[in-house]
Amino acid sequence: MTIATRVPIGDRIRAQRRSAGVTQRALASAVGVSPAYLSLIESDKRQIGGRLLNRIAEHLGVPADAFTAVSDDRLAADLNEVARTLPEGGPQNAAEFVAFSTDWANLVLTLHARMLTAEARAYRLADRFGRDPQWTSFAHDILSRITSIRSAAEILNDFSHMGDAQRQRFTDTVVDESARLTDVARDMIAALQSATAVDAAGADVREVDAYLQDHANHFPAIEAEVEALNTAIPLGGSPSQRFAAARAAVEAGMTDMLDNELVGTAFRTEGALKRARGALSRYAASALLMPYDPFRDKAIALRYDVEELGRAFGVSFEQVAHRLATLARPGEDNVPFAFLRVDPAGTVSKRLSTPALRLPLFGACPLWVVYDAFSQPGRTLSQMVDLDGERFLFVARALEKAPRHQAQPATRFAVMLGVEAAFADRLVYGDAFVAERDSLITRAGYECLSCRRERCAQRAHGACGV
Amino acid sequence: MTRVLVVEDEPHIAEALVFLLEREGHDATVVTDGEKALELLSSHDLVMLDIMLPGRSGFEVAAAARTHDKPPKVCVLTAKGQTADRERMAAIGVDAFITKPFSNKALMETVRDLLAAS
Repeated sequence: MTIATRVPIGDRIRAQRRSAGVTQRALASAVGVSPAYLSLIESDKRQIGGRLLNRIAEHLGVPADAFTAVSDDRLAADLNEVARTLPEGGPQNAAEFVAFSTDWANLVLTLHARMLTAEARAYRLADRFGRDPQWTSFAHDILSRITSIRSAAEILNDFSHMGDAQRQRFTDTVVDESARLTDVARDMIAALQSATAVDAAGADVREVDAYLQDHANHFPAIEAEVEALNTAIPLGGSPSQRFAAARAAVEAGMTDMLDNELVGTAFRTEGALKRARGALSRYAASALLMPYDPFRDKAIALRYDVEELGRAFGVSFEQVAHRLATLARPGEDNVPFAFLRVDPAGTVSKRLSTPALRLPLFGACPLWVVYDAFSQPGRTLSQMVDLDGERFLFVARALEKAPRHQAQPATRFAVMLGVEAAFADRLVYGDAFVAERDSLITRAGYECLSCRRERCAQRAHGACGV
Repeated sequence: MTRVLVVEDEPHIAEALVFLLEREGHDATVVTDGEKALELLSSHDLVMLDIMLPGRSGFEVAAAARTHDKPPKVCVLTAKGQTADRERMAAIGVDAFITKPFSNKALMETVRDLLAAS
């Protein structure tokens, strides 16, 4: 269920008013309401929006969006997602909590992310110690080395009367086996560190996800700069060759601009910063191949037919799908697409959520059509899903990427676009569901851990804590 | 003289076992794989048996030992101390199960007990 996440703004209005040195009475008078009514607004006992909000902002000399922030709504939505995973159900007032303090809200999310990471690490390590041949071998080696050392040392200690040659053999055993034990310990620590590196990469992914969502997956400055580049990648060659050419053109002409876009961001690790930089570079390359205005116009004309758009712009299904999820210029009535990419094991490797459709960080619900796509390669599949009472249209297709080296197998992914059902009639894929017959709707969840559909035959495991 | 078969692919552990067994007057023979152990089972009174071996596993060797008319005593010495392995060996009917690393003293007490009972 998507929970309303609009953060209350009364506190913000009061803070801005006080910071501007304006009394409640004076502001009320200036914007044409009674002081009592303004007091109710500042206490969040009255909803406010539109023209009155603009008048207050104008009088206080701040932009209207000073009272609201996309990042706050994202924070509240993330907190609701955390609450959803609790078996006993969590509090429903995430938006108020964010309004109280974004720092505390961020702290809760950080702690939750660390808990998930720790759980995943514990699971992985338990799995490794139990089954992974590498860890079984480590355990066997360590115990064998210690057994050799202990037996030899006890013999040297307990039997003083033995020949020099025999004594030397057991002494050599202690020395040799100690050296081998050191090697095993070193290898094991290196393996543990590589496991930790994987966890750190997972945290980086979450940070970059949050960054992209805070920008609604749209970067106007990059769009403008790409337009100013006035470079076109000629048609011809494979989509991946054209994308590589676009990346090269972007890095040649926009390096400083892309670096500057990240100045002032607060990524916690160098890895996250690099990942974000890569995401912006790919964003720019995508914008170069599919310039905003012509692409949007063509998308509307073709009713968002991904394959037709791919042919029109000489790009792949995935590139079109990803680009569609970035068409979010403020003030335009665009279709808000969420984008998901998974591998055949179900692991999410790329996701762009929207406020309406929060995509899971790990594996999604197995009933989602994105997984069916693997069994029907070459076909674009669509599905109308009911997720806890809210309906969405999903469009998915499996893709295969040629290996970089001949000896390697091709990599396989499936990508999916998701959009609220209210927009379905604007998409060519929505035509099949116009009837809204119950038999056409798939009742599903987001992912098993937070899903309450206890009787689902596809359930992989109980909801968290159940 | 009691004949003891040491089935162990770690040479330093095997060497220490032979030293300890010979100190107590036993005749110890070392083999490093399960296949060779199967050949020599019948001619020994006690088998000191590792589980993880090249060729046949310690489980197979232990099971084969139980089929002999006059089965040797079997003492498992292993780094695989999981309950499942212990239960599997108990089901086969081994006489002792010792996990590595062990103390020489405790090991030899077990050997004495097993040989006294045979």
